[in-house]
Amino acid sequence: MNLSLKLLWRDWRGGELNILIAALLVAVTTVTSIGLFADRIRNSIEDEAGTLLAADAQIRARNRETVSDELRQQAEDFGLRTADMVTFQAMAFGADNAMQLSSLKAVSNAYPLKGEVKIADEPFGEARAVTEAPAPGEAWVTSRLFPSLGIEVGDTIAVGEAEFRVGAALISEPDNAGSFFGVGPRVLINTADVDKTGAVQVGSRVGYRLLLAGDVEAFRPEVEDLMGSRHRWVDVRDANENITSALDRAESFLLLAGSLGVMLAGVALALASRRYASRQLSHVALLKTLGLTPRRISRLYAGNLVLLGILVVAAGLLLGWFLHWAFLELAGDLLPRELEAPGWEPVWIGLLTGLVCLMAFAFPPVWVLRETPPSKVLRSELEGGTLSQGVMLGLGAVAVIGLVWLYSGDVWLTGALLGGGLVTILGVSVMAAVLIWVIRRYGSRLGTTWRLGLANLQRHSRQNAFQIMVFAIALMLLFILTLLRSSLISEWQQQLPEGAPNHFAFNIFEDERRGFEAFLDENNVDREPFYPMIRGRLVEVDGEAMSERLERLNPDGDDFRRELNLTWSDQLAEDNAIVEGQWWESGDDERTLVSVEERFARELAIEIGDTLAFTIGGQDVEAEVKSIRSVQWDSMAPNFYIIFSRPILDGAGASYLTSFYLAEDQKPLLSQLLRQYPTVTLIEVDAIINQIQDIVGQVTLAVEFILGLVLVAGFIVLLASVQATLDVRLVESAILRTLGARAGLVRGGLWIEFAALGALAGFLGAIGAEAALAYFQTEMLELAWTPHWLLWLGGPVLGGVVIGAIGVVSTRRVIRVPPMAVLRTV
Amino acid sequence: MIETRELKQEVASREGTLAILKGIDLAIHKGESVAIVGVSGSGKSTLLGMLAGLDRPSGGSVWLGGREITALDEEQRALLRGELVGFVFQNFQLLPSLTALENVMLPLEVKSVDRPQERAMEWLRRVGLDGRETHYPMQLSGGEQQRVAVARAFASEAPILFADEPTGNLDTRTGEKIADLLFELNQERQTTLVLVTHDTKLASRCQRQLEMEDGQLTEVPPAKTAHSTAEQVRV
Repeated sequence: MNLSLKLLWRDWRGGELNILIAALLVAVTTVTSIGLFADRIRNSIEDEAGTLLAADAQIRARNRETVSDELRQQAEDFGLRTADMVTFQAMAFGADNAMQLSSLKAVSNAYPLKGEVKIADEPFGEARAVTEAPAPGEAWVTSRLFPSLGIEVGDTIAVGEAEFRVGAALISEPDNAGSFFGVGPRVLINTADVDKTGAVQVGSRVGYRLLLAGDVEAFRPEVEDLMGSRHRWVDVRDANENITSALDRAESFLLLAGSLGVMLAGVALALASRRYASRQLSHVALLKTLGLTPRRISRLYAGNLVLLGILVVAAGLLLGWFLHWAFLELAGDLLPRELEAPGWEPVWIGLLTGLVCLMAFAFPPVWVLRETPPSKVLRSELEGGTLSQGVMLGLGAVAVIGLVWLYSGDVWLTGALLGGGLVTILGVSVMAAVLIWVIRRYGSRLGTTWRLGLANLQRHSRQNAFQIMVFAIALMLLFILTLLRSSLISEWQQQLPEGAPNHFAFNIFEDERRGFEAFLDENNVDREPFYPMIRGRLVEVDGEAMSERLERLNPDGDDFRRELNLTWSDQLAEDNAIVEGQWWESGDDERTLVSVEERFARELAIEIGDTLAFTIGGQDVEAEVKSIRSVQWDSMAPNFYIIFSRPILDGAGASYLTSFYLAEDQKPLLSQLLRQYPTVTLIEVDAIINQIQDIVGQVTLAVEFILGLVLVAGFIVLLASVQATLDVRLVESAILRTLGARAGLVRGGLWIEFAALGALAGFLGAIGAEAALAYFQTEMLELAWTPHWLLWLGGPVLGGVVIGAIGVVSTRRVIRVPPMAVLRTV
Repeated sequence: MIETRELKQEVASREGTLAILKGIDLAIHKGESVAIVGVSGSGKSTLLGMLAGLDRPSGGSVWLGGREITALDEEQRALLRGELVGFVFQNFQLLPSLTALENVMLPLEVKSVDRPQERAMEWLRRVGLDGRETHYPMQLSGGEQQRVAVARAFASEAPILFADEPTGNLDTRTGEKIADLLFELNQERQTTLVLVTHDTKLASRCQRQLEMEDGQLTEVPPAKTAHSTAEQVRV
């Protein structure tokens, strides 16, 4: 074995390398497991979200045309799985000429590409999942259509000119989200039967879609040109806004957490390396007296670091993989069973993080060891061979910026963290020095133990100011993550609280409304108010025809020429907020006013004061825009693009709409309701709510897991920082005990010193965290910012207790080791 | 073996330049034992550092084994030290993370000598520490630690041995035993010994005594030394 390996082995055996190894291991493990876990969970969340489209993406043809065959061919050549879908409206006929306008969906055999269709042997019966389309000649019919058509499973229905055997009751489709309104009860058939119905002719309202599954992200750029303006690409994010926002926020959070994890691990490694190097100084001096040249010293230590780096980084990668795997096993019930395999990227990033950390944090202090003067063996007070704090900070900052940038790929995030870090370092250094002085000045009247502890604080004030800075940054990062996590999760839960409406009822006519309302109230069903609704088209904005305006503004956007659901109301709904203009008041009676939804207004460039012209029930209606509203579409309460200030056409031809919550055991009420009100359209959205809640659950889990890992990194920083001062404390305590101080006095002094350090760091960390939270919450996660009063109190207390405990526990040797043994080695 | 010409060492201080060594001329021959004595702070240890090539002087030159070490860079000086020089220090300078045996092996490993473990064991036996080879410095008494240091110094088989207050941290009895060991091995190996001490008794066991005072080195005449015969050294 060569000298280098022997020294490495002996250092390891002597415990010299423990913190260094732990810090590097945590850096690599944190980054790798966060990366792997985030990658997997993101893949599987997107996969899960994909079930809302029954595919990873859809290509929708515009203007009632079919999807180009060339696109289908390209998708198949690209290795994607495909399925076809055709939707149209047609009259369905049942027994005794009962009929109902239905919404037909024809799907090819491969449907659904994602998720599952649920069917039952009787209406509202026990659902079983299938992953196939109905066979040709067979139709699966929504439960609520059975009473209105007077049919049972096994009977025959007619759609247009074709007859179908009713094969099952359709309980849910994976992709029934989206627009609930204007959708008649669903009949699912095979695409092979579309022509037979004769219902799809020139001019029919029909939509063609090509469903895609596989690496759609890579495929999209390939066909962008081919799609042209005839087709529209819809992926998971386009299809569902509430999931998109949850996913985006979760991704931002994971990114932030990962970046902070890297920073913390870097700080820990820098501290550990500095301590390791400073403890090597006398060794190096001795080795030099024994004839080891500076070049050999460098080779020796560099070789050791490289070897150590390879071993620890490899162990970190393995541990990171194991940790993410173990977590997935533990959380098995909460996650989908078939997780998508992670990519190699997290492993590369873990590897790179390890190497960069090693080079930037561990290498420099060890490299300058070669400068140690050999005469240090004669005069231990000689300096040299150590890296200045400034150089260390500079190198560390460059590495951290590089890593965060590599990790997040986000220049703004990197800049924000860098700026925040610099301000914190500067601010904290000054404030720490001031606070230490104040405490020393006024705290020393408190008795011997206090005086001792506070004197220690003052004596090492430069070193302590640095340590407070490290503690404060570590605590700040932990506060930020913990609080962000809480506000994220509570935001998600508020979005879809337990008991959120899971059924919509519309087409309720004026004469049915009271009875319907009474039925729900008698059965203790939680419901939203009843909203009047009338369908109409927007035909002109400020005198410009819609077709021209759409062509001019947004030829590829949504086609808002379709029929819209319009309502009127005196009051603004709870989940709406005015973003521009004003809600109407009593004095606004003279004119017909409207309030327009934000995105709708943006896409059509509608402004306050514009005049909108509608065609409603064959009549023209004009209204002036009074306000623009934001709408929480994911609240599951009825919401509208356009709200009028007064009844449209005096309420003629309007129907009502409401939503309500039915628990699982209240489900039989649906049959009663449908029998009593056969013309009312009911839509069950339990399935989509459950899906969303599942996704939110998974994202929450991911966030918790990653927070845990970052906490470990933070803990290692604290430990490394305390360990860095252990040698000085050992000597001081030995001297004190030699002078007759009891162990209790020394321990009490350490408690006070560390708790005071921790409390100061907690206070400064709270300031930094509050400032950073204001930015992250409002800018990155688009949440509302509220001050965290508890943080201001809890920060110092938590800092004092945690750092006090870590300090006292990790310096317990100070009391245990006999003073003579310490003084002898000095 | 060791020679200095006009050796000077000056350090800058707040009051101006402080001269620690004021032009020292010295020649020590092969196999000689020389004690450098003087009060604390007189510059003894500084001179030792210069002679051993641990430090570079402000002026003058130092010759070690026929080579001018003041003209060498640290890289070359280190190689020369490995070849020519062994050390015994006041505070032992054992590596706390290494066992007694490993501490003795260290110079052998640095020089890539064959069978370092066997040789180191032999030297531990010579200093009376067989059976203690797996003990760490913390587990050894001061005298035992200095025995390990002596074993380490001789194990490298360097022709020159520098000792900086080798008994300074030890009680009188233990100090005497260490001194006996040092001189015995020195005699046996015919090494050149340069010893810094303020212990006149220890100094008197050397063939020559040089006194350091106010940055100047003066030879103490043999008459002033109480027990200077080689016979008495071999106790």
